[in-house]
Amino acid sequence: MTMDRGAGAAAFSGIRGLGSPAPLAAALGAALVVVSLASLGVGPSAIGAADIAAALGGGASAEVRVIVWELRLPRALLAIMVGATLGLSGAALQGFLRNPLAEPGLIGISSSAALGAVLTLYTGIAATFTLALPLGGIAGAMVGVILLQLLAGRGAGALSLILAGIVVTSMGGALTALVLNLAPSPFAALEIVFWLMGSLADRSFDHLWLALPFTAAGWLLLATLGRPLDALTLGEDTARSLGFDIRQVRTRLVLGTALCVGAATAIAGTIGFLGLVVPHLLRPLVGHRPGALLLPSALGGAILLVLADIAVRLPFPGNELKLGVLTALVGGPFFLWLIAAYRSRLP
Amino acid sequence: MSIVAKGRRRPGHSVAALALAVLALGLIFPPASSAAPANPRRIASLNVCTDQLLLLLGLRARLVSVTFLAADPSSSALAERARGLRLNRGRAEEILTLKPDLVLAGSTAASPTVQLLRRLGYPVRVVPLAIALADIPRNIATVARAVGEAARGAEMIARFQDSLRRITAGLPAPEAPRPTALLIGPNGISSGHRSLAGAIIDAAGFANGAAGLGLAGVGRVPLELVIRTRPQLLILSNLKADHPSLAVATLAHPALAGVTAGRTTIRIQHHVWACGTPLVLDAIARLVRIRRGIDAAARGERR
Repeated sequence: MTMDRGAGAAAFSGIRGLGSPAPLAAALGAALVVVSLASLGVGPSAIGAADIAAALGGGASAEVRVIVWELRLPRALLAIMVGATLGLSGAALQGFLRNPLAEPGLIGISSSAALGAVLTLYTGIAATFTLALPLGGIAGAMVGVILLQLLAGRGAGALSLILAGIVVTSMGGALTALVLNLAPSPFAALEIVFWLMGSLADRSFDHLWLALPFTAAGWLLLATLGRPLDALTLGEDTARSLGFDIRQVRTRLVLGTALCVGAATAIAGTIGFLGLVVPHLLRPLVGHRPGALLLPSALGGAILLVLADIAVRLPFPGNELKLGVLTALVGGPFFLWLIAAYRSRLP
Repeated sequence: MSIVAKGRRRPGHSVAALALAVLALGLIFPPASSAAPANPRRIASLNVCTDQLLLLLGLRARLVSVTFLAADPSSSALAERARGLRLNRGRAEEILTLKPDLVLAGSTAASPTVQLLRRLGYPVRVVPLAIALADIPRNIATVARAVGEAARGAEMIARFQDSLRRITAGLPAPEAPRPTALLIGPNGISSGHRSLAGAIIDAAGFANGAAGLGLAGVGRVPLELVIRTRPQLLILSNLKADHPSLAVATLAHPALAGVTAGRTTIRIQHHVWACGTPLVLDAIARLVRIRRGIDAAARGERR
């Protein structure tokens, strides 16, 4: 970037002036409320809308109240929490790395988080010290990010980052499978699918309270990245000249991503592609400003994951699909299309 | 029980390699004669249920090998008695070197193993999985005849049927309304129609909630449906629950606690319910006591 300081600042403020994210966020928020209410109506036992409304208000029979409050509500809230985490961190990573293919699932952060969580759960550490589960996920995510930086180097191109991500993802997956095969519980080997594909089946409020403090802390850190990300669209030098400390921005990004993705993965397993798709869908609506994309991406991620979590319960009630199956079926073709589009833009 | 069998790794992917190894071994160790002797002295068992039937028939001294599950207290009710015996993991290689004159396998035992052993001329007797109480005397008779102890078997069958009659005497007729009982283990695994655990619940005068939900054999029942069924008796199985896993964590879900308030919940040793041996009588007797308690409480309320 060879732009001088004045022109950079002018361009920067010009971009910031485009559109307003508030109506978009309000619309997404309303949609999120609607799909979340709809998700309360889905499950192996048929419960009418009136009964669900009554149960939410403290009425209905004891069984219906337990099903709505202890099974379906925490599930919907967890889908919101995990979806928002993936959407937000995808948007932040794409903005900071200026790489349209970056997202926690593809670049290995999710799979190393899963490995960290698996290590604490199946060795019994999480049984004696409950916080070990999210902390294990966060530590795993941190190790994943550090490995990624070592493999891809600073200022890596789009493709070398993705290649390094593939390495970290497959190593994380292989080690997860290894740990589960060696775990003493005979169920562990069957649970490989959960950790590699993700699910919210039979989760409870306990899981929500366990992860939420960490994911919320991560969200707050990522939310502070709005202005530096906008400045970074003009290049690192310009952003630095506008007064942003890039190293400090990177630290906030790494910590924020590790906190929210680590804790969410420890509860729900690895869910791929969501963080890739959501920012791309919403980017045109915010005038291609990465800072303005953060909140809509979080909301959009939550909406998509709640929808995915409804869809996995529909085809085979009682024997539901894994979330990662669905997100990959939708996200995989999207990823291919993105690569094709990206290549055609290269000279 | 199919769950128990699943825990055993099948050597399916390496059948070819194993076949070669076995052929080589077969050349070194000449095969035994294919017909079992009338009174076999070197009995090998490949299934945790046949392990226990053999031990109950008092044949410990004639066993050359039982499964590793037989010595595991979380899988076998007779782990103490199996201690000191040579343990196998259901693989042909382990069995060949012992030169058994009778091999007993369960119907869910790794079948390539059974086929290999048969081809090499070892007498293999397959004892089918018990899925009803009537299968228990049948399996006792099969095993007792195979080992040349028909009289001992007949005696055990008579004792079993006598105890069963005594335990269930005076229970209301099967047509009368029955309280619902539901068995649930890690991962929501339950037992419905045509399962031994279902037969135990039935025999003790309960309606099996899992069968009512349409489950056949052993399979998953979602937590929502467990709650919807609201059983008078919730039977929590400890199946393989001694190590942490997500599957085991489902039994600690707060939703279960929310719906069992005021109802009876018991914890069972799953292995007693998993094999068709006379040991299931203990499980039936325990449930019958609970059933009579529920009846007495209902009479008390009416009064």
